[in-house]
Amino acid sequence: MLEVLKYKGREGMLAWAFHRLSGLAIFAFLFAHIIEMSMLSYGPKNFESALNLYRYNLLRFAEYGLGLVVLYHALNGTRIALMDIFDSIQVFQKKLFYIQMVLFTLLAIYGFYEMIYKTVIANFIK
Amino acid sequence: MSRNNYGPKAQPSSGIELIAWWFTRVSGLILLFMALIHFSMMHITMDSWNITYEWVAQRYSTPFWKTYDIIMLVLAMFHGCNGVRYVIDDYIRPQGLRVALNSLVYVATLALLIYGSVGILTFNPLLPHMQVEKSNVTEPAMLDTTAIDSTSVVTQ
Repeated sequence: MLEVLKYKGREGMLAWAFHRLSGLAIFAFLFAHIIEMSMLSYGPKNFESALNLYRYNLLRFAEYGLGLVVLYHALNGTRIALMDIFDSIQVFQKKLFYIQMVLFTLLAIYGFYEMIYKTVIANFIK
Repeated sequence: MSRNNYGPKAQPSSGIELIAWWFTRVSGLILLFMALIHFSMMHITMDSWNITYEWVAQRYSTPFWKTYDIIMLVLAMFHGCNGVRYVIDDYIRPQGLRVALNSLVYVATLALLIYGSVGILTFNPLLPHMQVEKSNVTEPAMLDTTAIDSTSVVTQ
């Protein structure tokens, strides 16, 4: 597993690999999300039973994981799009990746506080 | 654009591939704001467990959120379709299987687009079968004391 770090691509290749994986994961989630949200036009009972699929405490962590996946794909994708539009910043590819990961960590911690601490842990401590 | 001295050009030269390449970048930048606002609205400013049918119906009572959600749906589906197409083209070499999987992705994209848009556009919470039933209001239960208190009168 750690052999992947021996390839010459280093951060750039890892960034690209996670971008692909996160994109596929988001597409798969989107498939289920659209079907479940379309229950809205089948009446309140069907919509509520579709939403009840998510109302398990363990699934809060899955929700948080989804948020991390979307966040990574969004930040890396912004970096790619900006590098493609403005050619001159492609030299700073690695520095931009580190800036992106710092931002990712900060937003992940904030998201953890909002989504997991306030809902699960704070109620658990009481 | 996308020219550097490190290797082959990352940008396709012309045609549909170039349009798809640009669409992925532009739609990605737009979706950056739309998707993050959507996620934070649903999970951060309000807990996703508090989302109810009435809340969504109220959201869709003005055209703004309907438009927002439809634009996000269309951009995201085409962005995703293109991305999955890149992945399939990269890893599946036999032509028949590639054509079959790509067709599957296109059909799924179109189906979800149409199904999702029709669902948002034709949402009408005022129809009788779409209204929240108010019949689960129960009267407070009356204690039946006839067994222990013979002086109480229970009126029907």
